[in-house]
Amino acid sequence: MGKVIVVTSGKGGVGKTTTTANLGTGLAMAGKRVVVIDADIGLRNLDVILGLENRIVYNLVDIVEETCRPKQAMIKDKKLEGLFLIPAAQTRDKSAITPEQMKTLTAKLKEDYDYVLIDCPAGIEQGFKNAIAGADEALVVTTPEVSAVRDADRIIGMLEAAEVPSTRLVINRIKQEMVLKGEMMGIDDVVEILAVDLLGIIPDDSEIVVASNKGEPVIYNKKSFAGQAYKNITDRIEGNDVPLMDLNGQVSVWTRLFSRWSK
Amino acid sequence: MGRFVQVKGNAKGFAIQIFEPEFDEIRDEVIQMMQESKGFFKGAKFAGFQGRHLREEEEANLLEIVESDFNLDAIKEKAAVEEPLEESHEESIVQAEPERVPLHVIARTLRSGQRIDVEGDLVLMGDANPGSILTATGNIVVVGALRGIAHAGINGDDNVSVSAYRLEPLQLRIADVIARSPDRAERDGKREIARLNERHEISISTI
Repeated sequence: MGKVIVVTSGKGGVGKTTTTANLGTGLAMAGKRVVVIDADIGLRNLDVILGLENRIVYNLVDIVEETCRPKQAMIKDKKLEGLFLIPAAQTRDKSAITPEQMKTLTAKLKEDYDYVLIDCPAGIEQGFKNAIAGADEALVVTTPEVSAVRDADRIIGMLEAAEVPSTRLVINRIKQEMVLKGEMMGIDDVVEILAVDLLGIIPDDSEIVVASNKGEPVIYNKKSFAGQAYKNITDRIEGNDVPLMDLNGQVSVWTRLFSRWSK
Repeated sequence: MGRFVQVKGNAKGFAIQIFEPEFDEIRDEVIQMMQESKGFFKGAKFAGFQGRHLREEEEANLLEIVESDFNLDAIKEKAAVEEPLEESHEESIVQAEPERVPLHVIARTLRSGQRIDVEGDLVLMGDANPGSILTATGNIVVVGALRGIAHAGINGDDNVSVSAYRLEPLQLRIADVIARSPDRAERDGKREIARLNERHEISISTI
């Protein structure tokens, strides 16, 4: 029996979709069977980040409306055998599906797959309710900005109210020079406010933009710090104990990791 | 809202009234379309009119415009174009008018999440962005960049085409055949036309 994980944030633009794409890719690279679902109906993006946009024929709404079988809407990744995408419909809106339908679908999928990752839309309305309906765990993505943290706090409250069994935090886009200068909230500040378990941190990295434009998640890029950070988070989801990345000395960390790989 | 469609309210509710375009309107639109797309048709062969039935003098009038004003070579053996229509005529016992395939000319930018579905042929004057969908029972012509999904012959007609100033679609569908763009899509969309070849595959050629 697999696990359903929803990636959510409240605020838009903090990196939910990028996180979903990278963790899905990372878990599939580790040999797991993974389905990623784009629950952002009407504003789909996950297909673009994964470079699968041109393969879409059926989508999530087609599955719940039984226009097609689930398998028909599942797009196999370009490289990874075990990674599948269920894209969102673009010409519909969030009211096209209900939380019960999502629950039924994810329950069925987790019988056959190790992980079902759901890319949640921004906001706290219907789309959010759909996305969290069948979740066994929530990953809350935030950036170290007051507005994003405020929204993450609100979301964590709503996840608790909806009795999602576990909630963990991912802090994205950390600019360590700014943190050191006291211009940006640090990891500890964010964790103190939100008071949930920290699953991982991701440094700000321009490689993310390059990767998104190429339609190839950054986790493939072993030289990228963000890619390495996502690899670490993947390992932690798998239950391995991996220390947090040391943002103060990124170069030395990288060198150390590189030497480990080249052995 | 449009020139050929009006909404009218009465006691029972509202009704949509559909007008047949007058020949003058069709002629004006043909002139306008040809003028706006002059470069597009340069050196092309003109294969006749399809869709709405034209009276002889109407057809002669339009042909003159196409030939003289725009210097296009009309293919003389028009019989080839008209043949399918005549066949269907013979099949029907009642001498009905030939089936009219309306031409829809729409001028706008079609953005992600928007779609146009028409019965008949579709001319979009503007771009169709990624994430948009165009469908038609007949042909699709995009006088602009086609970057979304286009499905011509949605009811199964496989003798139709999709063409565009810049043909860079995510997917092309003709009748029941689907082709997707290459993964490393270079943005070098040219004036191209896609249709089904004899092996029932989508094949693209420049125009």
